[in-house]
Amino acid sequence: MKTDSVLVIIPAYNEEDSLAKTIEKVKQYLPNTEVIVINDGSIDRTAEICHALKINVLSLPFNCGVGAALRTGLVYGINNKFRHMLILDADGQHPAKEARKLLLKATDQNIVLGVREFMNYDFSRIRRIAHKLLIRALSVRSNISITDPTSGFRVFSLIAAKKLFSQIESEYLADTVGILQRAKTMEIEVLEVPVSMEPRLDGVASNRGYKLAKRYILSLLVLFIGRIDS
Amino acid sequence: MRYQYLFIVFFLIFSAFTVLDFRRRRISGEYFLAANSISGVAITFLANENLLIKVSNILGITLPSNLAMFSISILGLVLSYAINKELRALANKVALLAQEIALLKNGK
Repeated sequence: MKTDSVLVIIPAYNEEDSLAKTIEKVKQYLPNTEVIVINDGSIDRTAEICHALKINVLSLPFNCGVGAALRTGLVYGINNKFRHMLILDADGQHPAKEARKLLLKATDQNIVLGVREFMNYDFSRIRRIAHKLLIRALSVRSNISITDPTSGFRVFSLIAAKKLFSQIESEYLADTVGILQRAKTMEIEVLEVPVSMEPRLDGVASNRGYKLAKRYILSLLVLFIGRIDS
Repeated sequence: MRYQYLFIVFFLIFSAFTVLDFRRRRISGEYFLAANSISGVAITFLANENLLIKVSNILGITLPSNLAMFSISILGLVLSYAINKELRALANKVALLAQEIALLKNGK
């Protein structure tokens, strides 16, 4: 896989603590890729860090949510005709060294999803149950069998990105679970590749506790009663 | 002073605020109409004590206060639903605009 046609998209919201380390790792393991950080209205030094590291940054004027940040990155990739777009979390949970596994499986049509084995991670009991429910709901409602539907570690082909970008909403795990549903209705192939993920390098997740529970509940509702336009 | 007069004064002050805000284009015409229609109906019922009782009897509701509560709940739900729909549509447009601003500022 040639990496010079790969765009690495890093959506970031107040990730000054971990962003520099994440970018360093990308430069180390994926040296010929273009990196773009989507600064989702951060109020910390996220944008400054990108400028200091001479990394291209697209700054949304205010916090629009990860879905909007992802959409912005994909539009940039589509406009600049990158063959593949790799999405990485800014908090360092998606190791750049694992990205090659995803890129090796990427074709001109598909989406490749880096999946973690949940049993190996220190997630709370409630989160595990919510996750299992989500997997079950996806299977029942959309006939999709995915081990880790909330994984944000993905590679989009240019064709898949073109088909999907306008459908990405800003909320309720729409950037992950919602995309899988839409990919299924549009007959875009989704491949799973097992990867190991790492704990956050620094800082705290913006979605945790009550907010995370709310997102899972709303996602389940959207999965069951939401309309999917193809 | 009877409680009705307090509510009538409240609705009149509320209506006055909506008129001021509508004149300054701070609220939509639809909201202005809806809020003032509701205020008008409320003032009519508050000013005519027997009217609420008569309407309750016609509708078969034993307690007039129940009719008032049901009506307020339904109106509140409909109004919040309409406002939420409008807000959601606006939020989507704003997110798209934000995306375009980010891309334009970057020049690509």
